[in-house]
Amino acid sequence: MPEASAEQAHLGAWHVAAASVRGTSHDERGLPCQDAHAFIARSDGVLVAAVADGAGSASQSAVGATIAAEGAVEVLDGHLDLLARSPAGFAAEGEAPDAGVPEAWHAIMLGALRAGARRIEQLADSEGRKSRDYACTLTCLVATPNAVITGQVGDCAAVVQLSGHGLVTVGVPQRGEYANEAYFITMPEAPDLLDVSVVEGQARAVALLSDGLLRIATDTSDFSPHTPFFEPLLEFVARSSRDDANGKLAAFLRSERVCSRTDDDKTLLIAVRSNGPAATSTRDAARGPGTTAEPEPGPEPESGPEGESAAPDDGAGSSSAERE
Amino acid sequence: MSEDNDQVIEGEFALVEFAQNPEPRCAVVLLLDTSGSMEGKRIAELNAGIRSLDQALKADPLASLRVELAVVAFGGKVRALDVRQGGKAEVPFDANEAFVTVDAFQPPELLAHGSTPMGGAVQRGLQLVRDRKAIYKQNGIDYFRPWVFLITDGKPTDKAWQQAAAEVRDEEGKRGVTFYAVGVAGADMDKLARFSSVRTPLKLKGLAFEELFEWLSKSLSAVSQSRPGEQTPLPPVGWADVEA
Repeated sequence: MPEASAEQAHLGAWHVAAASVRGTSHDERGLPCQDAHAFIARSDGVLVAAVADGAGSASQSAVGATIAAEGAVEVLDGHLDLLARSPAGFAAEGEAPDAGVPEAWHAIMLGALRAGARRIEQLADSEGRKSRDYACTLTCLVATPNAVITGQVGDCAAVVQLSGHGLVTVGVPQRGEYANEAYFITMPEAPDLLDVSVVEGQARAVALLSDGLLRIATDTSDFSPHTPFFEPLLEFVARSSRDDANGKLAAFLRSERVCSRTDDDKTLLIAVRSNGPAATSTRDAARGPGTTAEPEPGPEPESGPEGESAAPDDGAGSSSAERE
Repeated sequence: MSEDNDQVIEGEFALVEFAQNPEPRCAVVLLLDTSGSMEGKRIAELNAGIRSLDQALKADPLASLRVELAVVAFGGKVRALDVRQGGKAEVPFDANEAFVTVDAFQPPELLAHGSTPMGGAVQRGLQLVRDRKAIYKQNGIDYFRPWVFLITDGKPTDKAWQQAAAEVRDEEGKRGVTFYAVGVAGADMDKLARFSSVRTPLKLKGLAFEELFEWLSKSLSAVSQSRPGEQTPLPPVGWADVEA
């Protein structure tokens, strides 16, 4: 087994900008923003993020989305603490689930999904409501030193750029046959609907988006990313100061230019890895435009480790060894 | 959209380009009885109703790009009308030719005459819907559940109607279509009821075609703009008699 834990020292910190804003159709109907997001950029360089989109016809879905996103991120963060404490860090084959061990990640993502659903159920019970009143989708993402893992139910999307590669959609929106059909974590069949993807390699950037942005940010025939949408945004996040990135992103999502193309709630979370070290852990959980941003030094994040090539069918250990 | 927001766009985000995706579609087949018994005021009111449907949907910018209409008339024989050209000519039962988005729809001026081959019309309508969905799929176009909307003042005169009714119920069972049957005075409501296991047929109040099509336009506007996870409440049906 190659020794794997040392590479964490080489990992850059994450620049993260995120905003969930109310759509114009929700303004008109007096509905709140029913999107929510949460993330933790851990001091070990691992990013945990989630986006949730509350169902338009579920009265408490704004609350449901918030609980689900925050609960999922918390649970995933806890799992990562356990992994980080294990002797081999993130890369031990068999023992610690990482790239190449999709079953283990499936179990972890299922845990995150269930945590969100359970919290919703508890709240519903205490408020005398049904879980479905809190119906929401959930897409979770974990970017470790050597893999990106997504788990989702519903039609949010997760887009990933591995170092030295183009953008790809890893968390693919789930839709029924019809454009207005959706899947929610509050459905009894949600555990069976959970889609988990594991991509080996080090992410240079990741993005989470809610379905309000799919039509302008992806080719909806296969939900592949529309690169000219993302590239300038990645640049923006990479170079923007910690204080105003979220606000500017929210203003962009509220702009006439965006709203003329989509009247739904919109969430965009973008994280770009810099070259600098991951300093302190940062976290944010927000519904509506957040105000927190990255307290971390921001050297140019332009190029990640070059020549990064994920070895597809290799065990987890070998791909991390390449970065040594 | 405050000025602040737009200033931000001028600056940092000016380079962000948006993907161009086709609008999701909602295919609607109008199955219209143009048999001899519809002659006179009925067909005139039906024609006026379709014109008001056209106007109302064209006034809704999104619906006019998303709702696709096909008109199948049954009077003597079953015909798909060329609704790009005001329905004067027929088109083959080809989903590419029979459907047109509302922005290019030209309402037909229907003439009444002949028998009531309702069963054949329903089968053609269902096939058009299936074919249209296949075309959407091939082209990666999102779509809503298609509607088939039948209006008649008589009873089927063709042998195929029972088979056609079974096909509708089957398609409904697969959630493949939303089927409505509307009977004008004189319609055989019992037979119409056989066409759906989901909805009882509705009986038009007098000649309230105008209200019927106004309701249809509002319903299609709502459905064609519904989002994942939203229930789409349809407007109340004020144009139908409540059955005992």
